[in-house]
Amino acid sequence: MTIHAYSSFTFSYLNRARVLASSLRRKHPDWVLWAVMTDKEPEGFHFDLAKEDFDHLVTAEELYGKETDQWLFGHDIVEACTAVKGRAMLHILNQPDVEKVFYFDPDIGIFNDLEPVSRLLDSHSIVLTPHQIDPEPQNATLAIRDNEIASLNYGVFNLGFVAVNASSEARRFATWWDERLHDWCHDRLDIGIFVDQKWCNLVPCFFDGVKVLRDPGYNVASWNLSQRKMHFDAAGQALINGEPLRFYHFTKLGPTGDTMTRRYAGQNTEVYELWWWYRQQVEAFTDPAIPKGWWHYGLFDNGAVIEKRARELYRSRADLRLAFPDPRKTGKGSFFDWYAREGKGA
Amino acid sequence: MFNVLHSLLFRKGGRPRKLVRLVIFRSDGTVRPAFRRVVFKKNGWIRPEFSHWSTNLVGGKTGRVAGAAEAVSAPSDNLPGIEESKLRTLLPLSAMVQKWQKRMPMPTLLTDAAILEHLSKIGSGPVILAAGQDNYRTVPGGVQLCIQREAELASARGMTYLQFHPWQPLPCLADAADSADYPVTLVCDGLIIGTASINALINATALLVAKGRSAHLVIHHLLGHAPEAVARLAQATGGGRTLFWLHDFFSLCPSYTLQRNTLEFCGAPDVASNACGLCVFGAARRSHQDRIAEFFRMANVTVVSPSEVTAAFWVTKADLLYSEIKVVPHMTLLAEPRAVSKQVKGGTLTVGFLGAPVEHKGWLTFTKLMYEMEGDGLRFVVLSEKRPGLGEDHWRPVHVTSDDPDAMANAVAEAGIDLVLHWASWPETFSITTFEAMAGGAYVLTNLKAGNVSATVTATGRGAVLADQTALLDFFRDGSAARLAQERRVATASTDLRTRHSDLSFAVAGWV
Repeated sequence: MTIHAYSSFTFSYLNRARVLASSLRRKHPDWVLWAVMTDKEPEGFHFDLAKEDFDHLVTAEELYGKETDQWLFGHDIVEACTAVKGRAMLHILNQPDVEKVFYFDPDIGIFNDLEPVSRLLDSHSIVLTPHQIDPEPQNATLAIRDNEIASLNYGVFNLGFVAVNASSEARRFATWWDERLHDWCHDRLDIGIFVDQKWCNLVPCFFDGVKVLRDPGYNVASWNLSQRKMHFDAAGQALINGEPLRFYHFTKLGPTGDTMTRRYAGQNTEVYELWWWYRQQVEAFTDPAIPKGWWHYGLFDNGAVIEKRARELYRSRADLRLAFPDPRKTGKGSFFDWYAREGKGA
Repeated sequence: MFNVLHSLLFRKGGRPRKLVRLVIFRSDGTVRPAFRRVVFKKNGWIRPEFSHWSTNLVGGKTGRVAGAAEAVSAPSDNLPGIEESKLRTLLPLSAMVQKWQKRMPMPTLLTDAAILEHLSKIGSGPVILAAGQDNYRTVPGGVQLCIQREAELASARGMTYLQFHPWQPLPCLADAADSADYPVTLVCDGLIIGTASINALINATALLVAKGRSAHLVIHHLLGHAPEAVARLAQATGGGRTLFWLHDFFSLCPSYTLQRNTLEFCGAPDVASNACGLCVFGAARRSHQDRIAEFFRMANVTVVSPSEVTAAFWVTKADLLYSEIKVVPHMTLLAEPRAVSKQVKGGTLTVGFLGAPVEHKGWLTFTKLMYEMEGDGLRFVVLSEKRPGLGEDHWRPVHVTSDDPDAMANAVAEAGIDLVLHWASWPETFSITTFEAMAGGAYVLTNLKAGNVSATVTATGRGAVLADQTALLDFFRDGSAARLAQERRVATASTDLRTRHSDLSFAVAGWV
């Protein structure tokens, strides 16, 4: 029986996913690691699995078959990489001898072993980590807005991480998750949906054996730094509020991440050291052969960028999907052609 | 001119004057667009002299509350604090090595015959081979001064002192690929005789020993050296004892002051720890440890520690093979009652900083103290090679050499320094400046992490060991500093103070 872990990403996030895989591999050399790829290689780059820390590659095409192009056209890059997570979880659960499955966002780094979660899965079907595990003080208006109200808007649990065992209840969860993500994995706060994450508010209501992991060492990120302090003990162990740092979610590498980190890490220098380490790692794992911002499914076949509005129109109108079964194709009579003429005003 | 301009723009402690502040900054603390290039460097990071006050509202008063000193470096959402700024410019070790690379061509190398001829010409007594990281005749520093004194002690004993240091200085060991050979510059009895391959030095030493002359190896530093080659040199001396000085903790980590990511003392945890995994020196530390361990196995090492506290720490952290560890302080403080007491001096409480203004000696804490205590009737004095120009009341250039070993102590006395701040961020292995401060009549303020600084203050009672920066500020605000200064003035008036230097490596019985 084996433990499997997977991450979902495109080639432009391969550098981050490599940091995840190498840090996970260091702590759990016996786990089976999967790369779930919603992308195709750019010209001049070859993804050689033998040289990666990942053991297996599964593509969106392998998961969704003929409908892949049409279905993905209805999603932007974040929605697409998120939408495939449920189907990928089912795919991995259906492999022989799978005991437990962990999902990690590609921008996560693992710092200590995850055995405690593995042990939890001996008695629970599903483990989720909330964005926050401690309330903000009443007068911390900005933190309440940034963190607690954001959780109410975007989902209580951070779906950068989820772990399941191979029980029937976990499979029931994965099946439900896949169904919802197939049809409703959109960034639509106006109707109460935020990709895969908001759906999982319902998980403790729908499923048994759900463990809400309230350990400060897991899924540390800018959205919970206001209540978490990092330091090293004399043995050099990284601790968060006195508990071992298991994994850090390096969300929004760049100015936005910097701003939020500064706002809540303040003078907790160790957090900036984590970020320094992460920048170095990402740089070391970056392949210059991958164009910045590359996403095969982000472009029409003539190289034009697919606008979000075009995607929204396409996914919301059955007539368009029927009329243009190959929406990325350009030329006379194509969706591209129609959108240029009529779609922008539709 | 610069100093006049600086004092017009900035107040003591580097804080810009209010008028300048109002011109350059908006009321919300952000920079007016016209002054962006004045305040920010090309890479976008704020210049240090503006860092305090760009992150605080103009007109906002820093409350004199516990932790106020730490608040000076507080980051805002948009501007990094001091530590984050340092990390932004922190290069990976491989990039640091690249930056250190000399651009000049390597000089013609001396042959082993030339080295042998030189050594034969200048004497017939034992030859002391001393490994160092640089030319002790031109580079200032405690280790360099120690080597300078040791060279003179050797000369007085009729010995030849041949210091060798890497021609290419490095922030770490020489690459393992260079272990077969690398160039070293030879300084013989204080004079550079040239650059040679380490193998030429090894061969010359072996020939010298074969001719019946004795040679003895002392390691003051291995920075830039390939320890494999230095071990071969140890064997060429005939396999006698190699002395290995603990001037710092380079034997434990390339970060010789054990500063994780150059920010904070790490305590040399296990190399597999999170701290090492996240540190700029962590990746190199494993092979560094292996190479140092192999050197210790090969070189018949006697470890020499300049203090008990260093020896006690090092033995708990070093998994190395050595025959024994000796404690040889560089100097001791002698205090004798004066026959006739001097008159107790009055005057302004004077706080001093001695030596290079570097962070691991507490320079940042000194500047914070200057800023925080501004207007409280204190006088701040810096005694160093170069003028820091950050608002100190008095600066005097001081250059300690073996010809003028008491230069710093005399300068401390002349400047009337009451309290020297030596806020080291790592366990100093000896701290010559602490002894110089005390010999000059000053007391020393330090913290619990400062190694032999705090041990010496505790042992002599000449100063105070404080928990943290908050305690330091409180010490000044609640009158404790003034009382301690008065105590030291009374004690100094009735006590004759001086230092007695040790024989350094020659104090280790049976080495030569």
